[in-house]
Amino acid sequence: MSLTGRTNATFTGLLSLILLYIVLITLVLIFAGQVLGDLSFTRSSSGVAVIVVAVTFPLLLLGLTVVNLVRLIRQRAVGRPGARFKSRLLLFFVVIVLLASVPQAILSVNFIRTATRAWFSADTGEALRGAQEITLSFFSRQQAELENFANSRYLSGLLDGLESQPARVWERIQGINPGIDSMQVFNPLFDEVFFAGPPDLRLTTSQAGAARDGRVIRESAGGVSFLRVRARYAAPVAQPQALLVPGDQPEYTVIFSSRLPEGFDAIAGGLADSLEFFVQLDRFQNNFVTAIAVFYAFFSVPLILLSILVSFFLSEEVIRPVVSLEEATRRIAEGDFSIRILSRRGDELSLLVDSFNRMVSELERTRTKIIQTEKIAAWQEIAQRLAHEIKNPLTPIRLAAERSLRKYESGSPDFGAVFKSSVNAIVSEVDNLNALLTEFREFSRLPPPNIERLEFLPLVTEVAAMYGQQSRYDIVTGGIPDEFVLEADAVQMKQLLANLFKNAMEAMPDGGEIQVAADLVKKGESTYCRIQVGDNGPGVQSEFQSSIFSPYVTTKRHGTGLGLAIVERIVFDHHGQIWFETQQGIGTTFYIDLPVTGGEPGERR
Amino acid sequence: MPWPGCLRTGSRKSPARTLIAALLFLPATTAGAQLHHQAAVVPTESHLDISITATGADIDSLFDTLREGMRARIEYRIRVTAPRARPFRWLGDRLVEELRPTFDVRWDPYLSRYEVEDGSGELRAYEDEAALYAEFFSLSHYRVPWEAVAGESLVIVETSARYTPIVFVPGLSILSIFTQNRSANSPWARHVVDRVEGAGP
Repeated sequence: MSLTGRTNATFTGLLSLILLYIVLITLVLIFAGQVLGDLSFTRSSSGVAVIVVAVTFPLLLLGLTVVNLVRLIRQRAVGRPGARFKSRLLLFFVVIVLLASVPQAILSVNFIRTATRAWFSADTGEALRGAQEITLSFFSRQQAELENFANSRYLSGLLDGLESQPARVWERIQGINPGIDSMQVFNPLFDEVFFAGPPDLRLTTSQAGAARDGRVIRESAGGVSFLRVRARYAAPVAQPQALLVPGDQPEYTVIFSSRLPEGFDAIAGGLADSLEFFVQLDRFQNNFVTAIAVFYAFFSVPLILLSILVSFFLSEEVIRPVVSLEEATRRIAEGDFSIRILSRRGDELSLLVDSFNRMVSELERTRTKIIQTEKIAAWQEIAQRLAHEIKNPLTPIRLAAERSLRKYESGSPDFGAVFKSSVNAIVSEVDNLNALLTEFREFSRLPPPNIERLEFLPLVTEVAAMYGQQSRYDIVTGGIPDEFVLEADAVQMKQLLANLFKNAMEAMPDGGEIQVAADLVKKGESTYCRIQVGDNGPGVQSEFQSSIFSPYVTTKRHGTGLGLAIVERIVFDHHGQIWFETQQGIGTTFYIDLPVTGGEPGERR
Repeated sequence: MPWPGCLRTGSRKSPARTLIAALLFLPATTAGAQLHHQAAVVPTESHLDISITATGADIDSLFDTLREGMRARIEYRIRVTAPRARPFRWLGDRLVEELRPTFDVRWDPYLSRYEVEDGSGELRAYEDEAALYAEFFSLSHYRVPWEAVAGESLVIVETSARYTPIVFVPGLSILSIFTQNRSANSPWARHVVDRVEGAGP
């Protein structure tokens, strides 16, 4: 038999958690980028899906952590091997995780708070506002200059001759106001008749028509920003073209444009955006720090939970060989020497496991050798004792036979009497030998018990009746409840009782009292019938107490030493237990526990 | 009712979906609940003509906010749904089309005017606050072509407005969860519309 330790399952679990960790990190990066970028994505269907995952995922991790924690607490409560070690390991892992993450969190939030205060100080705000003021001032001046020019009462004089010589007018205007970059002229029918300046400042007819007189507007085209203003010029009535609109002076439309510096729009837009960012951060600075802290917690807590889950797996992996060792040690203590531990190669624990397996193999070999040696020794002892017991009566038999022979050869007149007494002695010794061999056969060929439900009191009464003729002994059965039932072999139980009674009587040659009692007792989950057989003899001498159940150990002159050995054997075959209590001068009581249903093999005491 | 053809009834959205939506957007909808809107949905031969006017928004600080250089936003939410067949009616109405015309307003300090930009980037400028208020908080004659709801003889148009007093710039948008300047949503209103005979594809 071997203990494998679910190595593959643990590896798969660990791999799953690592994959989960990668998924979580990816999710964090995506979610963080989206949230920091634009929170409105949360209203999209994919955003909702991300939020659902982001909310359920930590809950799932929390649930798994709680389940594992509860399981660990239960394991500790029931005393599962390695549970305390695992708790300690887990605690270490959690402490390490927290040691790494908590200072990092505090540092990060503090850094962000300090950095935002430093980067977005009042000076920065003043600088940004100042820059915008300068830009605005420049823009306003440009705007005012163009507007003043367009609304100037001298403009009509400057435009004089526009209908016939617009190029000369353009030269004149450039000489007076070099800030004007282009001039575009439309006749009363709104057809363009003149344009001077960079081509990108040229308007279409519809654009020109939409402009308002005297009002400066800012426009951008092709990455270039410019200010534009529209003016009117009434041509003299004498002009033939004026006849196109009867009754009125023909009006020419003139568009003046002034180009803003290159990049003005980008700078102005950038300033506006920066100022917007600054104003928001300045106004909600405390909220921002809180948001970052919560945001950090939102992602770090699942990571911490995941780390704890990984810790569960890692601690399980670490303690598994230890648990296997503990379990194997327990099994060996119970007598199972076939146990071996499987471990992965390459680490220190596998060396320990290998050493353990070698030790168990050595123990098993040694144990087998000891058992064999014990068996041989036991048989040698039995053979010696048996030889001794058989040899003892042979001497008186030989002496009696030799004595009869001598009397016969000498023709002794008392030959008849001597012969008779010799033959009687020989017969007596042969009977003793026969009894000895009969008991030995019974001991060695005791059949397996035929378990059945027995009423105990009638059984005791029947056995007691066999010894009832010996009036100097009183067998008391008052301690046996009526209808007390036990599960045992009837024949063997009678033999057991008979042997115990005989043992008690031999201990009390002058007579005495033998008490028999029975009761039900509970040991853990099991129930036993407890039988007590006590006498008020002299008690067992201390030097015999440890070997009282060994075969051929007896203190009686004619005892075989097999009576109590047979009793112990019967109890053992019934998966029961037997022991005794003795006090010098007071008596000895034998206790026998027999299982009510099933049970493990009995233990010798 | 300000517009003819407007039919307002109670909401029949799926309870499960309502619950999920409430949980997800709770932080963004708890403040400024006084926003209301009135809507008119007029079916024509070619399209659904939808007009919405939002009222009750806290505009006291709106113009100050704009002058500080920040932007505000109004989002008109239009959901076109259709009833499900009888065995599946418990799932709520089926979403056919969802539209969210959105407008951002900001102050242009260079030209001293308010600029309203729609989702497509089109810009409209307003020089006085009254004009801006009137235009910004109303959506006039928004068109949902019948092609978008092809095959449906009866549609339900749900409308709502969402006003965001401060639109946070990218990088600070997370602040919208943690500040009092949260978006205000007007309650959803339902408008049951029968297709005009011969209208659409």
